[in-house]
Amino acid sequence: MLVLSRKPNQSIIIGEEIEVVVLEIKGDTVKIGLKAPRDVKVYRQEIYAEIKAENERAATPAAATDAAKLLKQALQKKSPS
Amino acid sequence: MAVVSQECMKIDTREFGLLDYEESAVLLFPEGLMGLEHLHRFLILDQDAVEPLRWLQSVDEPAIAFPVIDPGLVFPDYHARMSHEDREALGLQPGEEPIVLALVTVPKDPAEMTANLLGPLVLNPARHVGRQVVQHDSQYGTRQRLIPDAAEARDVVTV
Repeated sequence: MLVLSRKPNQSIIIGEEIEVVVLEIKGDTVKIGLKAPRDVKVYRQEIYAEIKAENERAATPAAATDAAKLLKQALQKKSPS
Repeated sequence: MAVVSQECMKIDTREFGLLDYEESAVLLFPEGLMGLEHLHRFLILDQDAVEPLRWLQSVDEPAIAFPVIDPGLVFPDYHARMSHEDREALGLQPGEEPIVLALVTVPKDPAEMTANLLGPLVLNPARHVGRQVVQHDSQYGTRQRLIPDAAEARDVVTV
């Protein structure tokens, strides 16, 4: 891994189109600004990992019909109309 | 003039067995789903037995089908935020809204089922296209309970 030291308001350029700016350092939190082309997707790493893991779990459902029954009952209870 | 033939295709699915579908019903996810980037083509299928859930059936890998739900049924205030780029990718005109679906995880205990509201699916059926969008700074998570009181719900079903 390439390691660089930066101060607030200093930045790093990745390739020709992506800039990562250190905006503010407060306690243990670093606020980062990103300039990237619109088609470059930027996510917090843990959110990406979480969604990826959940997608994989969702692909192999257990009894979906049982789940649907429970859900139907819960919804009817919520709005008995 | 081009001759248009409505092609009828077959896949061998887990939930529906051998399934006929028309090419025109396929929704294209150009980027796939996160972690499942190889899945690009899907069908949305309704089945009485799983209503109000629906199925997002993979065409590329017919053994894969995700239960999905309209998140508004359970979370009336839920709104899937989209970037300008997301709207463009779906070909949404100003004022047009996508169909929003959340992937549902059904664990062994179905009462513990959850919906992924952090990475909802947005679809534009008119253009046969969809994508999974990440919600930044959302109050909702990837495992949002669909049945709030699971213990009670289980009682109802066993009575």
